Amino acid sequence: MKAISLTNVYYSFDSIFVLENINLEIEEGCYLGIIGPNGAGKTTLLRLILGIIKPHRGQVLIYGQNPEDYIKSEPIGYLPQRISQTIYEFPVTVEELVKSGYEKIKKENLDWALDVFKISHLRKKILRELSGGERQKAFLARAIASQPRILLLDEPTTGIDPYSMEELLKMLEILNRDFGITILVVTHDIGTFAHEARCILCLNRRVVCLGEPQKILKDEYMAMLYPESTVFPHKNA
Amino acid sequence: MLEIFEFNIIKRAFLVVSFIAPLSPIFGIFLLFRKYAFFADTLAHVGFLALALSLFFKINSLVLLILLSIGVSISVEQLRTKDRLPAEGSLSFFLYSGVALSVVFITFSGSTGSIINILFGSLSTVTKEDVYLILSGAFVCGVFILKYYKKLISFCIDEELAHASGINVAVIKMLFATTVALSISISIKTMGALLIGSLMIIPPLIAMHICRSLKNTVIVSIIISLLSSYSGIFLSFYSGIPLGASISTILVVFFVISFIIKAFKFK
Repeated sequence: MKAISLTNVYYSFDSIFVLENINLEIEEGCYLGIIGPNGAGKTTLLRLILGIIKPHRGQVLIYGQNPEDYIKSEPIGYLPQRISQTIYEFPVTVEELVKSGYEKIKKENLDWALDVFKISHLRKKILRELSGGERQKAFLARAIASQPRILLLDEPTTGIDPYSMEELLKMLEILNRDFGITILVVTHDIGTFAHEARCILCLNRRVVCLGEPQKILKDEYMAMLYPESTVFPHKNA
Repeated sequence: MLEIFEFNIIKRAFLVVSFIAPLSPIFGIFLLFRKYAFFADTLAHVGFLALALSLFFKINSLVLLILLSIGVSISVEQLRTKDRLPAEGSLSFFLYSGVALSVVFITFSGSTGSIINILFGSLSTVTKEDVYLILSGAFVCGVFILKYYKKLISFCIDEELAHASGINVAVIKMLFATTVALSISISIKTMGALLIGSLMIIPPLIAMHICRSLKNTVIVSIIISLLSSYSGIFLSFYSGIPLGASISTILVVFFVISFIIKAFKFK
């Protein structure tokens, strides 16, 4: 079953194309890593899928619906690249953060989301008192609290230590394998996600290549994706 | 002491603050969340212009105040969202325009004596007719907050996160801009154009200082706002200090006390 499909999608900013002729079909339950250089359109792709921005040409569908229509009936789990720091100035607890945005959230959903990321003991803690990794888990718990079918993560490992990163990857693996959640992760951390994602999308304004990590993470593709680089990030994998 | 309640203006003042005092800090929390505390000042100064215009044209000031504030509030959001102008820039533009034009109209109206009341609030400026408008405005704002509270929190934390949760951010943004303007408009006659921001911003600041959850911050802000407003009426009545200044002074005292309490708590 197709979870997400983009057909002939173009998006421009100030008359410069950020994304050109994107054709993608993402199956339900896929765990997709999206890689590419800065300015490749990775975040823009996620924002198009969410319906925050609309394509200038082409069509984006989520389970056969426009993103705006889909999102009205079912939230999409989302972790943006940057979140305003203002939230840390307020005494917002982990539980309040996870509940925010959902009109009604069942207690078992809340408990499940906190359990998945092993932060149940932090539920009454204020966000500013948490470490970077714990904060990231709190936002991830918020993203999955509605038990979405799709989870979009924009650079989720930024600013967290290797141990927290490893834990986070395990949890994403569980969400994908055991709960069948379709996960799209935008990352620069190719080395880490090469072992986790089932599929890698190389994006540089266009789809450079798409496939299983072991087929994609090769010098020839990386040279196409990072033409100005001589050291390819997948070598760390 | 109870003779104070024999005066109609005092009864009206108590009735009005009972409605505006709980609303102001809630909107203040949302404005602080959005790094938009300056918004309250801008709208207050636009309110100053509305009152100056009403003196000049001799028309109902509160209706004009509400309409002008809502118009400016929506314009600021439009300039921020569509024209991508810096929020502080467009807020400053409306603030200075409001002050400059107010002075022009007050000068030509020949009612310069009203300036103190407009700037610092007064027990006597709220008329019987105003009370109906203020209560209706407070009712609209109250319903909006109760209905959209969770969505507003999410919208204030991060607009894109709110969108992903299925919230219509554009609609919430416009409703928020409108109700903030409405809540400021209905409070200006009591608090004064220069001091309305204090009732919106200081109670949340005190509460943020001593509370350990957002829910408690909201509750404590409302309690502080009500306490300072009621005691401000007494202070204003017996001392002759303008009402807005009385309430703000009490808030400042509460603010200092909260720091002292916290300092002792962590000693």
